[in-house]
Amino acid sequence: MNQKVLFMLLITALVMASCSRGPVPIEYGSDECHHCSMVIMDDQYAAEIVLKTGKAYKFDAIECMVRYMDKDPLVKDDALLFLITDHDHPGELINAGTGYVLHSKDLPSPMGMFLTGFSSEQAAKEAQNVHGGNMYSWDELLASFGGLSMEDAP
Amino acid sequence: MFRFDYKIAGSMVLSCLLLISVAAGADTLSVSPDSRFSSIQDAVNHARSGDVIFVQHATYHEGNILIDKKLNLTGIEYPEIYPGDTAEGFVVIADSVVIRGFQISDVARSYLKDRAGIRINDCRHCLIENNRLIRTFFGIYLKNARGCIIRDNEIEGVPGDEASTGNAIHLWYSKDITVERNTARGHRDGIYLEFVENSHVENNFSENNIRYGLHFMFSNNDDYRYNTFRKNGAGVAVMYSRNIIMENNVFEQNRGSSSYGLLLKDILDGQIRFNHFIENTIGIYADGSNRILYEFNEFRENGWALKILGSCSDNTITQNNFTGNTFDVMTNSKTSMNTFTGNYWSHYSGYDLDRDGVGDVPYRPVRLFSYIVGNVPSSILLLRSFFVELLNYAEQITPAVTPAFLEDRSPRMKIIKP
Repeated sequence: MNQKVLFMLLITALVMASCSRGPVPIEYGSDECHHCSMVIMDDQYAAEIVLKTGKAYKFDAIECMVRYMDKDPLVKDDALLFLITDHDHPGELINAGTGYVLHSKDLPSPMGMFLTGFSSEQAAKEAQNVHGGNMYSWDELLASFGGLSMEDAP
Repeated sequence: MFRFDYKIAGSMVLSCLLLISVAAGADTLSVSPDSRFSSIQDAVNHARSGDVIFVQHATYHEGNILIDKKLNLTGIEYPEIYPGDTAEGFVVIADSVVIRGFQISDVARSYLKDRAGIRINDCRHCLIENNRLIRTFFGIYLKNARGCIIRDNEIEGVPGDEASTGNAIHLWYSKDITVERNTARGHRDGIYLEFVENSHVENNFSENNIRYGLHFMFSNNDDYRYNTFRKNGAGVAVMYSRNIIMENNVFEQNRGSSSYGLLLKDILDGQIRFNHFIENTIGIYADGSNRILYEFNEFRENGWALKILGSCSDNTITQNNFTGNTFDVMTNSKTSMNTFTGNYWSHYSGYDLDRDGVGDVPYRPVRLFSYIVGNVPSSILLLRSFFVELLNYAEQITPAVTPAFLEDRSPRMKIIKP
């Protein structure tokens, strides 16, 4: 009896686990960027959109994710999560909405826009003190992305 | 009668002056563990601009060797340099520096800095030749350089740890660079160019790199010729660039579920001529690439010779040989804005009754089944089945799904000899 309950619990847990929608880990060195089709290599700059279906679009850089959002505006309705990488913790995806992005000539991101993600305003400020450049919240970045030029980062 | 010859006299004076200047200007310093200079940096600090430093064969545990004046550093029988866990090898910040004949090993990975075996920062006319870079994070790294030559270097990455390795030769914001006769293995990209103009990549060998053998990003007016790209994640990627000339290269055995010989993404005005695409999953994958001339290339035994997406237009594909590919051309669009003419297709089965060397009926290189495979990849299982052959045949006669306008109206009957 007890064993049966345990078994059922295990099955339920498994089913729940396979249904959970959340960040999908990026396989560095084999996953391709959904926008630019490059293989994602750098675990300090990757980004990801998780859809409500649980499917994930992976990107090699923040700029690729923003450009893709531009190309496919409807993705905002289907998206559950927008994730960027915390530069201080390579390989760790964080919520883009609560993160901060530094635009600095010192930190070249994979697709030439010099955008680097940080988990907090504090962390981004510390990096700004070292590397210079301008700091954006996620919404600010989306609003001003079109005005950022590729080669003239501050 | 004696006649004063100004020419001879002038050249004699000039050569005397030259001799004096050589004698006065350039000293030769020697570095070895038991001589006056036991470290390379020590010799560099004591040298004057224009001097030559010979480094004798030995093991040197020193890193971040800063070259801040015009020097010629020549290693005798590959002196071995180990920079340690937190340093780079050579850092060059002066013009006209020569680094020749060194072996630099074990430059560790860093998250904060792109550490390199040999780094050139903001300078001109440097020559980096005949070095060996073994297990370096980045091999040779040029930042804001002009007129430099990188040749005959051997760069070997960390085996089995490619995902955390940098590029073998990395060029960033540079101009007029020549990269020739280098060997790059086991890195992220063999040769990487970002914001690089007017540069030449020739006769290099790039193998077993995890991402690309050669990679152009935001780089214009460059060319690459006579290189071989074998067994990389993908052979060459040309992205967001203009006017890239690609000639006489070999792209072979770049295999994997979505691997390419050549990946073209958002490029304009290139030329792809006299190349060989052999045994790749996809020979050329073109997305958003316009006004490109494909001429005299050989596509042999690839899964797909050419995948040209609907986002490509005004390309000309002419006088190429397509032999023994599983699929010749694949596209995702029903219209074609590209010109296919005068190619040789080994799958062509038409006649040439008037014997002018050109087939009498057009050849449609897109097969129905390649469409199905595009949508349902696992259907590749049915590739050689009778039913699929029947479907392809029916589609050839009355195209319903495949683009009717994507056709070669003058397919050649014989292999074209360029």
